[in-house]
Amino acid sequence: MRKTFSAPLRLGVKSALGAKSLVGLLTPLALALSALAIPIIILYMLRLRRREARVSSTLLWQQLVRDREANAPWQKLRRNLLLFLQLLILLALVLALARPFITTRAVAQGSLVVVLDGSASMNATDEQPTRFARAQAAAKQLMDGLGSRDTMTVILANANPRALIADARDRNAIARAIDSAAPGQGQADWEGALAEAAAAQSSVVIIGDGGLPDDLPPLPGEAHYISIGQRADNLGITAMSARAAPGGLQLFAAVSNFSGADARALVAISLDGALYDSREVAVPAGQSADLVLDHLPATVRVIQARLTAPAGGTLNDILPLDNTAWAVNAPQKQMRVLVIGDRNVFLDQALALSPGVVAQRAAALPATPFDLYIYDSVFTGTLPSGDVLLINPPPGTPILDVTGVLTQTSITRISDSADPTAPPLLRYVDFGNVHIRQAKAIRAPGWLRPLVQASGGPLLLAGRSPQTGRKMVVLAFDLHDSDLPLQVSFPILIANLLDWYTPARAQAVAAQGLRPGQPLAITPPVGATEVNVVKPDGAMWRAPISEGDIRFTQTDALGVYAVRVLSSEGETADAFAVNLFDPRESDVRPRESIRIGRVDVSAAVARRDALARREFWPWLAALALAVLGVEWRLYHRGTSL
Amino acid sequence: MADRVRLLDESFLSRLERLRFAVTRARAGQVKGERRSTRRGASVEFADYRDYTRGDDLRRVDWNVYARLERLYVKLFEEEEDLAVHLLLDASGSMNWPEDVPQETKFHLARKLVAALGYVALTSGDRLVVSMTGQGGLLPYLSLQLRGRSNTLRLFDWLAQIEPAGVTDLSASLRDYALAASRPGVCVLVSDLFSPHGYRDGLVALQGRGFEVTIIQVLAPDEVEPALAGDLRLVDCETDSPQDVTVDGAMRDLYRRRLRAWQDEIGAHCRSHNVRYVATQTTRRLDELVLRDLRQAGVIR
Repeated sequence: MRKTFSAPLRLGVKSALGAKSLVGLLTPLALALSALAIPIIILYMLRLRRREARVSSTLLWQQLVRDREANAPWQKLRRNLLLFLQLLILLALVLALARPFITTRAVAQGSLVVVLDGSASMNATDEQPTRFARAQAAAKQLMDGLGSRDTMTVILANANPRALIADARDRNAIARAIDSAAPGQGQADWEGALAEAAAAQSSVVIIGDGGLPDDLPPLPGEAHYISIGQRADNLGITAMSARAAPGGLQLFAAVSNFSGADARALVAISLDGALYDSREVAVPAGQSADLVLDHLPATVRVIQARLTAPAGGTLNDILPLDNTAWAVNAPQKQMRVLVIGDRNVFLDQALALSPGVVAQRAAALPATPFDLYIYDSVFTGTLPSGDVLLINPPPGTPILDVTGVLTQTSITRISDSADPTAPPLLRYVDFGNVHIRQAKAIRAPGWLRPLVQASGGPLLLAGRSPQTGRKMVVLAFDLHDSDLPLQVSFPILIANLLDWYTPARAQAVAAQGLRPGQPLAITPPVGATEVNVVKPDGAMWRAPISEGDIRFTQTDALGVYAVRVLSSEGETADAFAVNLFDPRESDVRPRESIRIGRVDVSAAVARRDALARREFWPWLAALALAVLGVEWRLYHRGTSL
Repeated sequence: MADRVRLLDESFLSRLERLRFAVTRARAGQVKGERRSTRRGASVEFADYRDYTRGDDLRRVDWNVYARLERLYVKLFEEEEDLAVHLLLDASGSMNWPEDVPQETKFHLARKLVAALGYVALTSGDRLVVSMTGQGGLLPYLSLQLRGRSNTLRLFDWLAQIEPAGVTDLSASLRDYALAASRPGVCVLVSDLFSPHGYRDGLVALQGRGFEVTIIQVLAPDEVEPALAGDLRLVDCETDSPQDVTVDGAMRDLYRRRLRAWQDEIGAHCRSHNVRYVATQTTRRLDELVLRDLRQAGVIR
């Protein structure tokens, strides 16, 4: 019944609420059927002509009629009443055929997929009590507007989007599912959420405050968007990290102002729970202000920065979630590096720049063990038991088979740094611009993978010995024979090398912590028996040791997580922070439209006038049936008097 | 002539001879031996003889005739034993029902009934006045006065040529009759009583004059059980006045009840006024009507 035969007729009718709502007819041509009223009326008029019959005397009949009319004066009206009722039935049926509709305040019609924005910005308090609660209310309004045959699917779009309830008709169950949803504290995975929504082949309604990424694939069906949120006043800490510097720890923080007015705030810095300093920052509208603190004690573990109201003022902030940031200062274990070979200014410089590295030069292997041995163009004695970096290995170096010198050094292949099985030495390293005069021709065992291959042979190899577990990196050329040390890639390469060699720090986390929802890979050292993680709310997550890395995914909450690794030698404690640090979420300005695929979907609002047409012809048909019953009853009751 | 033959058949007539009108009130002249006369100083006029029947006063027997003929005859005097029997036949248009079957109309039965009663009156020596009402026109009634069995044919002929027609105002006719009648006596009204103005005023006038009234109401079967249905415009065959009515089962029920109530009302009124009332239908056989119903009602004996 989707086709309409003519343009729908619209009447503007003031509804009882006072707001203008539109009532119209989908097939107004059906009104022509009301001409059937004419034959009905004619039939009634014809029936009024009576058959003549002669009787001996009308005396008694007269008395009878008089008596009846005296007793039931409405008998005269009865004929007219029946006619009226029959015309009413005709009217109701004709109206039902004309398919009247009322435009309701529904956003969409039919079965719906509702995607609730569960990103961090939905915790904003510009809508009472929060934007997410308002979104839940909007979702329930959509549920109320469902037809009797329509189903609803509710998807919560947070870091791990999932359907809260799918293809449900039971309103109680849908309401429970909506109530059970809660917003996350991080970004939402919109691609995943919309992929799940697209599978349902129904209209999709996205309830949120915008902030979708720009490159979303288009949805197969209709898309609607309900915009939640009114203000954009938010101040947040959008970056913070601590790094070791000469003289102590250096803390860097950035405070962004996402509102339309300049703001001032007080940043309170706490070290390991104790307030250390507070600085006032003035942030112009739409911009950020940086904060740098120097000379923090290097032994501090957890640094917390919190935005509060400035002295004598208020903080106009609707999203408190991004007002606190944490940084974990992991004590770097010192790496002892031994360099054997002639003095190489480039290598020395690179090693000196690397934090946590204590480099020492020697001519021969000392007795004390080192974490890393670097052989620069020489080799003497036996291979030590630690990790090894061989630069320009001479013939006779164990494990390798140095056969000679190669001059065809044009690089043919660079290993893909995204290959998870290869050592990640080449991240941010651009080997393409490196020129090498000559290199050693090396044939290496299979576990040493060539990461950079030249036409004559491998230039950079790395791997882990399966027998000894020793990590080995081989640079096939002398540093002086190339322009690699002169490039910025060189210190990066050295840093990557050192990172790779680093003795097992349980997890490798960037200095600014994880994003909410980002998983953490924990590499337990050999001999560990248990790993547990304490979340910011105090709950503990335990994982047994198994082969390979352990993935910890419950990083939804912002805060500091403590990681403990228990082993036969004792336990090691570590920590990492999860911060929002997302300008897209901190910018809580509600969007008026969102972009999906190539389509801009503007906020189809319960505020403005509606899109859906709800037909109510079944009610009219039921009315006609009821009136028919009344008319039948009336007819028979009238004659049985 | 042919009508006369069919009016009443011979066997019936012979049975009628044994009947006579019953009178309940003591009449002037019926009191034993005393004659009351309305005229002063009038001689007693010998009128007629009548066969002696059991119960007659023996002083009134003519012993001379007995001596001569050895048969008992009772002397009738003009003013005394002269019972005036007034038969009123309603000949209005409504009596001609059903219209299409003349042998079964109410008037047909009424006429035969009047013929029978008239014969009874003639054979018992009463003074018979037969009148008919209706016919519209100037005369509310038309009368025939007869006495004696020899006038039987005249009676029958007169009755035979009446055709029912016209509108009756029964009450007015009765009232006029009552005023004009010379000798009140027994009055038998044969009618369907379908008169819009009723009959009661006329009844009062008759009784006031001293008449002993009997009302015989004749109805047709389809007046008792109407076979009508649907949306009708009923036309009165007497007055031609229309009445719109929608007849269905319920309506017919109502009509029957109304008719019964009407007849009950007439019966009650008659009882309370000492009027004999006999309701009959055209389906009733005349002999049974006369020999049983009228006898039972005390009209004749």
